[in-house]
Amino acid sequence: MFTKAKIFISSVAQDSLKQLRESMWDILRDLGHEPMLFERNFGAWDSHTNPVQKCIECVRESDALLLFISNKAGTFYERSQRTVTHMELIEACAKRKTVLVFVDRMVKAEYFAKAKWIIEEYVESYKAETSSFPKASDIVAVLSRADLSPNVDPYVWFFLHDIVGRGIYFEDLNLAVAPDWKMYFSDLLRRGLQLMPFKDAIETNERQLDQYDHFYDILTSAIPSLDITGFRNLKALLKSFQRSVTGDVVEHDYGYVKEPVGSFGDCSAVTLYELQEDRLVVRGKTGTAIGEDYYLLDNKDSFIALTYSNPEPNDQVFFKESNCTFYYCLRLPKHVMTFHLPCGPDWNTDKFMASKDSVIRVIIDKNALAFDFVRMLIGAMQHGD
Amino acid sequence: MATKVYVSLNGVVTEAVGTQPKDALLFAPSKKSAAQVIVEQRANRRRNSQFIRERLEEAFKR
Repeated sequence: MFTKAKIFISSVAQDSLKQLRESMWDILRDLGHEPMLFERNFGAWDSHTNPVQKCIECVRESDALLLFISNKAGTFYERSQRTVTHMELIEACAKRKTVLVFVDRMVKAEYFAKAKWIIEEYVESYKAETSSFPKASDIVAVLSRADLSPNVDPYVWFFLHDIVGRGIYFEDLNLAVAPDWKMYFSDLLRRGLQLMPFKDAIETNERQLDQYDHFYDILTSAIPSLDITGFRNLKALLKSFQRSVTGDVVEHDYGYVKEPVGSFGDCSAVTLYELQEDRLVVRGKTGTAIGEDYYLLDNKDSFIALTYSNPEPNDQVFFKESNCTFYYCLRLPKHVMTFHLPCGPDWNTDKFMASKDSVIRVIIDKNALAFDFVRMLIGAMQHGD
Repeated sequence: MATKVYVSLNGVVTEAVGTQPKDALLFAPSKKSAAQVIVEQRANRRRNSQFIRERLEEAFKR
C-alpha cells in the first residue's frame, strides 16, 4: 500500500500563471504524485465552507507547498492583513511543510535591488519611532508610493520580504523556459532518501536529548536548595568554566543570507572577583588574565567595577580594541565573573559598535548553559561563603 | 530595537558616538539573559522534537 505525495500548487489566479499551474498538475500526476489545485480538485465546496479556510485546510493536508509568484498579489484581506496565497505559505511554514518557491526572475531581481531596502528602511524608522512593527497595509502604502515597477502589485514586495525573512530560498521562474520538473522532483527524492536510513539514530538521539533536558531540570531545581560554603579548588573550577566557554563566527543575519563579519576564539581566561566593602577583590583567575588584585567600586576604567555597579540585571559585553578581546561579564550578588574571548585585529571600535548585537547574541547563544550554571553555583554560595 | 553602546575613557562613561580611540573600553548590555536564552532554546528544541517524531511516524507508516 503506497501513499502518494500530496503537493499543493499555490499562486495567484492570474492569466500568465494559468498555463504553468495546469501543466504542473499534469506533470505531478504523471510522476505519480497527488497534486492539489484549486481549479482541478478542491475548488468546489458547499456554500457553508469558507473558501480561505478550505485552501488552508488543503495546505495542512499536503506534504509540500509549491508556490509561484509573479507580479500580481491577489485579494488582500484587511482583517488578517494578508492575501490568501500568503496565508497558504504561513500555514505551510507553521506546519513545517516543505515549501518550494519560484519567483519571476525580473520581480526577484527588483526585490533584491530596490524593494528590500525600501521595506527595511521604513520598518527600522517605524520601529525607532513607535517601538512596534508597522502593519502590512502601512508597508504596502509606502511601497505603492516608491519608485518601483508599476506593473508589480506593491503587496508582492511585502510577500517576498516575508519569505526572505523566513529564510526560505526561492528559485528563478522564467515562464518562457520551463524548468526540468522531473529532474527537480527526482532531486527532492534524493534529498529525502539521504535521511531515511537514519530513523533509528534520530529516535535514539531524541530520547537522549529528553534525558539531558530532564537532567537540566533536576540541576536547576536542586542547586538553589544548596548552601555551598566555599571553594575546594577554585583554580580547577575556573579552568573548567574556561574550557566550557567557546568561540564562534559572528554573522549578520539578512534572512536570505548570513554574512560572516568576524569571529572570536575560545575563552582564554576567567576571573572571579568578590565584593569586600568598597572594592571588588580577586578570588581567582586562570589563563591569560592579568587583572589587578582589586578594583574600587567607583573605578570607571574597570569592566569589573562597571559590571558590578550596573543597575540593570542583564549581563554585559565589553570590548577593548587594544587588547583584541571581548569580555563577557556576569554580575552576581556578591561577585563578578568575567570570561575573556580573544578576537582578531580585524575587530576595531567601529566594527564592534556596528555588530555588537550580533556579537552578544552569538556569545550567549553558544554559551548560555555555562553562564547560567555559573550563576546558579555562585548564587548558591551567597549565604555560606 | 538596537541597544546603545557606551564608552569608558579616562574615568568617564558616556554613550559612544562615532569612532572611538583604540584604548577606549566599549560596552553594551545584552538584550536577553542566559536564562532567557535557555528557556527559548529548550522550548524550540521540544517543538522541533515533536515535529521530528510526528514526521518519522508519518514517513514510516505503512
